[in-house]
Amino acid sequence: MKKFLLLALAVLFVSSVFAGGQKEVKKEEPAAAKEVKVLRVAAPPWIFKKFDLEEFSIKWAKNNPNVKLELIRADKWSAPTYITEWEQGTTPFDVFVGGSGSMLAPVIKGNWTEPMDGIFTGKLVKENFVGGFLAAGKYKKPDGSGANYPVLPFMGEVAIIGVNTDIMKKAGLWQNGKPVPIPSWNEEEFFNWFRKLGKAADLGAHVQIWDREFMQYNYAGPIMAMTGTFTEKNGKGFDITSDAARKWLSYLQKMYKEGLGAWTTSDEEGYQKWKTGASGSFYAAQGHIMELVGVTKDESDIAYIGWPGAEENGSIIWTHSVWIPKVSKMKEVAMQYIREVVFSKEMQQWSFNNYGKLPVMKEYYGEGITWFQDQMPTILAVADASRPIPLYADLQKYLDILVKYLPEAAFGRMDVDKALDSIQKEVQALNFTDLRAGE
Amino acid sequence: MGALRRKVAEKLNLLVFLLPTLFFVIVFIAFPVVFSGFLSLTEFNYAEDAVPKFIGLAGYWERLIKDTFFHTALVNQMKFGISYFTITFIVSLLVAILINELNQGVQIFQVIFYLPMIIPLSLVGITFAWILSPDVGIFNQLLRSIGLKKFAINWYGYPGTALYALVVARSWKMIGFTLIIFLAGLQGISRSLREAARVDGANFFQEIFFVVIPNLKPYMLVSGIWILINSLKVFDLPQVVTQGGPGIATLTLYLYSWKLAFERLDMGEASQVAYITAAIILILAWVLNRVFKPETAQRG
Repeated sequence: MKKFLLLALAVLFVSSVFAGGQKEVKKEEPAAAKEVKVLRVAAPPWIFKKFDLEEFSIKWAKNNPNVKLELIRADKWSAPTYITEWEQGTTPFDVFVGGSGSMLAPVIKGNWTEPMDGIFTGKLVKENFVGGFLAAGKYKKPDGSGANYPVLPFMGEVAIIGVNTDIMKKAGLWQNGKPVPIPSWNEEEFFNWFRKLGKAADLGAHVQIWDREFMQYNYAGPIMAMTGTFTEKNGKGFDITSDAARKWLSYLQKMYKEGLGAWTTSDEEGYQKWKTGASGSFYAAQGHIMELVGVTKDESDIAYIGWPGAEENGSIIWTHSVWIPKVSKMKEVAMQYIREVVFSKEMQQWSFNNYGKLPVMKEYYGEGITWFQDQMPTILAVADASRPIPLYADLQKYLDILVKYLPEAAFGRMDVDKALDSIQKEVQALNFTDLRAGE
Repeated sequence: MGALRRKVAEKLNLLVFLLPTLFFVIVFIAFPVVFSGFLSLTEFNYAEDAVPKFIGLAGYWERLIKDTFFHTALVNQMKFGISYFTITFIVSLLVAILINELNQGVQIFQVIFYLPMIIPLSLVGITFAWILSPDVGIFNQLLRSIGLKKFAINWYGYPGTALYALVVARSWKMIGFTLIIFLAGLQGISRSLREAARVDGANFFQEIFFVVIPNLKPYMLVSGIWILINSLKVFDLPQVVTQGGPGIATLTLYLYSWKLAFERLDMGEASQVAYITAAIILILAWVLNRVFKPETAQRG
């Protein structure tokens, strides 16, 4: 009994000391410190590398002493993995910088993010955005009452053809300081152009990556350039029935069989092939094409062209977005951070100048861009007319089906008609509701 | 009374020591297994559905009968399993026998063959991707240099070879472990047994087949089960090197289960595939157990 009493007294004593101590600290806290808000900004490691988030955030924090900024390198890549935490009303971050459309689809469908519509004021008015990039952030509301921006694209990529200027010159495809474009979709003209290029390129006239991701752009981009659209008329998936679709897939097959198409099955292998400097051209995101310059340190090694018709009909774009979880208690500060850091001219241009990531604001393409100034009109023209891949409700299932057939046809292992017919049969039951609202 | 109190105290002590392990087993093993079993009987996309919808065995029926991706993954898994089992089992057994015949340097060989085991599987995948790279890979360079240019293909990019290229990478890493098990067994076989066989006129191969291998059966069982489980637990390599491609040529059961869970966010379907895979492992382990009858262990 004595022991118990002693123990109880000791516990009481210790807790009273701690309670008193806490009060003491509170009393001495300066008034300003009370208002310090903690803003937690998360991003995957590649964003930290390609946007210098750290440097720009530190500068911003200095100007905002009332905000304590915490930068988090996100170990979870898939946004939906946070849903269980949001269900409990908590979140490990207030702002997430990064996430492509397909990655964010479940989060958008579940209405887990704070609408960003309030940000379109001042220099961030909608007209100042590159049209195609902004459209990639506009989604139908889950309750069906119109559309909004649950996420905001801050970085864009456009599928475009990069050409190796040395090889183009050797092939006689360089005139007046500019690359000679692919003349048309006429089979003879088209293949003659690539045959000329192929003769001067040891590792193939044209590189494309045929993995599950890039397969979409390789297939849809040229059809878009050819016809102005890449989807079926009824909206159920990519165009797999038109003459243009058959033509393009046949061209791909013929290019590979003739040794003009140097297709790869992984992105690493594709970049590797392009960066050897022995491939004539590469159809990919312009940022990845620029990586050749990272090796040669000479921007004149690359020039950009589009597929015939791309400047008018556009190409395929994709974006990465910044977003705020609905359960965050720091929405206002988060918006301020997004406006002043993520959309700052300095950071967006830094990313372009170092890694070729396209700014989403039109005015950022001017002064401050240190390289590829002469290529900007081509890139911007293609980007502005381009469209993102629709975000179908069953996109993941759809891609799983496409990857069974499109690469097989491109590599010449499956008949074009058989591939397209098989896709048509297998996608019948899928839900092709596009989560995006369009422009 | 005192004895009873001591007994209770002892039991309590035991329980206290067991608690951390029990907690770990229940929270991280038993509960997920049971919960996953429950999920496999439901329709549940965790990004869309608030609660799982019970559908009984319908999901299993769907996977086994209608799901063409599951069928492909199962066939790929079988191809992978058979080739991986054969290569790893035979090569490690042969190498172990050869090393055992050496009078010196056995430990050095053990270390050399065991070294790949300490390399992470993902790193093995990346290394082999470089070695087998179609343009700059050392393997194709070698083939070209000896005039076999037509064989210098895209090993991971061609559906007919991608799966087997993964088998080679995984076997290279794993052979060291089974080799050490076999070596331990070989070194436990009494010299007098082999000498007696020799006296009876057995040549080297007869000695191996009629003396060594029967005595190795318990070790073969252990290695066999280990290789078998590893031949079905195929996720990291295809995920790192091929992402299941080209097409779905390297889609395995584990990878498909992962894709269902974390790409399609469908926990019900993912659990069904995981449970079917577990059932396959159990059946095969039972078959293996019957083939290498445990009673032979007593004789060895």
